[in-house]
Amino acid sequence: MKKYLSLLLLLFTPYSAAGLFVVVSEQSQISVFEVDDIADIYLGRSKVLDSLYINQVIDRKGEVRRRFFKSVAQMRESQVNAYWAKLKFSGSMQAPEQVESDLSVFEKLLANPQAIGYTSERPAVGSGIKVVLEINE
Amino acid sequence: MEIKPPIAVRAALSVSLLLFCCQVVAVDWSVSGFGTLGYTYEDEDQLAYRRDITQTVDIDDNGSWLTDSNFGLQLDGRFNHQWSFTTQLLLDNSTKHDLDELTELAFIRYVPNEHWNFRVGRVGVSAYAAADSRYIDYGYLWVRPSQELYGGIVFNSLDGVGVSYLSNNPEFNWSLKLEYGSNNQRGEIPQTNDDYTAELQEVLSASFEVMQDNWKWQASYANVGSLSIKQGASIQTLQSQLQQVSMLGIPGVSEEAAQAYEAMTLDDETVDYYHLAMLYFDGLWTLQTELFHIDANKSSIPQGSGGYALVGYSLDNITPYVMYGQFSPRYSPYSSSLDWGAVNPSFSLLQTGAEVGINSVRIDQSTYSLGVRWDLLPQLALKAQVDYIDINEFGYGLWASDPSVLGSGRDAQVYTINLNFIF
Repeated sequence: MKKYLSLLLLLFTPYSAAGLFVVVSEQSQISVFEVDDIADIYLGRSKVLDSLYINQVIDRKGEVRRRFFKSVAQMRESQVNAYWAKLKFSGSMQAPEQVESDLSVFEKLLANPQAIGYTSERPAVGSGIKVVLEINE
Repeated sequence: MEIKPPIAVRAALSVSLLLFCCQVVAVDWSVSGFGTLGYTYEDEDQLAYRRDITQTVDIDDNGSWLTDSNFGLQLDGRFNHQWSFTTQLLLDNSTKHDLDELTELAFIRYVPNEHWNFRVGRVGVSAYAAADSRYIDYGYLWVRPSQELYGGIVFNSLDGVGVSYLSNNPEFNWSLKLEYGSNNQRGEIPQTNDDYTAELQEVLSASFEVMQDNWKWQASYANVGSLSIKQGASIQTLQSQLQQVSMLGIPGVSEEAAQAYEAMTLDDETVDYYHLAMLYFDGLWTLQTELFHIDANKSSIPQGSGGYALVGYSLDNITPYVMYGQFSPRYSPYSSSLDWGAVNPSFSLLQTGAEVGINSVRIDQSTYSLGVRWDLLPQLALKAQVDYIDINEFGYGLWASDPSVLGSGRDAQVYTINLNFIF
């Protein structure tokens, strides 16, 4: 019985531990903020996080994006798309750039200390990327 | 040589692009777009529904694929984190489809820091909550913006400059937006099929917005420093005949003809727009309301007070909503007190023409709407909406109407089904 319980835990561990990681360059001065602050950044309502000007917001595509906005803004993907459609196609502001993979996020963060992104995997130690917020879904 | 704004806009953009290209600056290009495929049916004869007063419609038609259908294509280019440009072409049911009319946006943007945003070229107007996004139906619950507010506004972009300041204050986040420039809007008079051009010069738009959590409040003001209408042949003939009668010295009749001529002639007029808005969205509930007041001197400029309110609630991918809109005119209907035909039978037709010409732009109606939005895919939405519209006598300014209906009010139902998409 104990053996089966352990197997069951192992089976579900990757899912239950799955999270989302808000990440920046290690050179970034960002350290402390709330989830609501991230929602403001990703909805274009603010450009400052922890007193630092964020001049590049990196968004994702697909399932990771759906999970992220559900967690930080309680919005469905279609609602996020509708929200940004108004801002983008009115010329008010440019929508965040969308990338496919965690690796693409890391590359852009390493090139710009004022950028912010999110990933589904925790960046490796020594990668030059730091996690500033872990989102438990 | 006079350089008209659209040419200036294109020239400014061309020069700017050339400068950047000469410096061999890498540009991140992005192509995206939006659109609507929709059908609208209204049940009234001698009337045709218009999304806004610049649309061309046939009074004899009850149903149309052209009321809401449109297609927008946007090209964005980013030179670096400060400099970028945006160009947007919009194909819809406009009277003309040349490059100037198709170009909805075309500007260079400069964002030096977290507070300031500068734009030059053809920029959107922020004077109303949905002024610069009125054609992006995918972005809203409704099938189209409230006809009472947005149906009569003839400008949503300006050839000029725009600047905005964002406070980024976490406790009290506010922004101030200013735009200044000009706009030429072409339309068609339904009764005569004559084209006209509304020339708006020295337009200033100022908007103050406060954002807090799921709430957004907006107070704005716009001033059109100079509005002139270049009328087509039929109206010009009518104006000319009125002017002639006004100079004949006929007691009473000439004075009334002069008043009618003055009311119908729009040259260098000023118009003031006042506006308040409140928006709330928490992922489930959508509350949206706008109040407005339009003030001008001439009665042939649609003016008055009104607004709309919308409430929607999301049930997963399906969001039903209700909306109410109203426009109350500032002026009573125009009517002359004397019988011009008693002086000369031919004046009777002129008198009727003057009364129809002035009163046909007057707006006096309210709309009750019930609709539903169904998000089929993250970038595709299907919407259906039923409108019950109560039009008062001499209040048909938003419609294409036969002159014979102006003197009595009526109810109309409008049924719409739209497919909205972005890419």
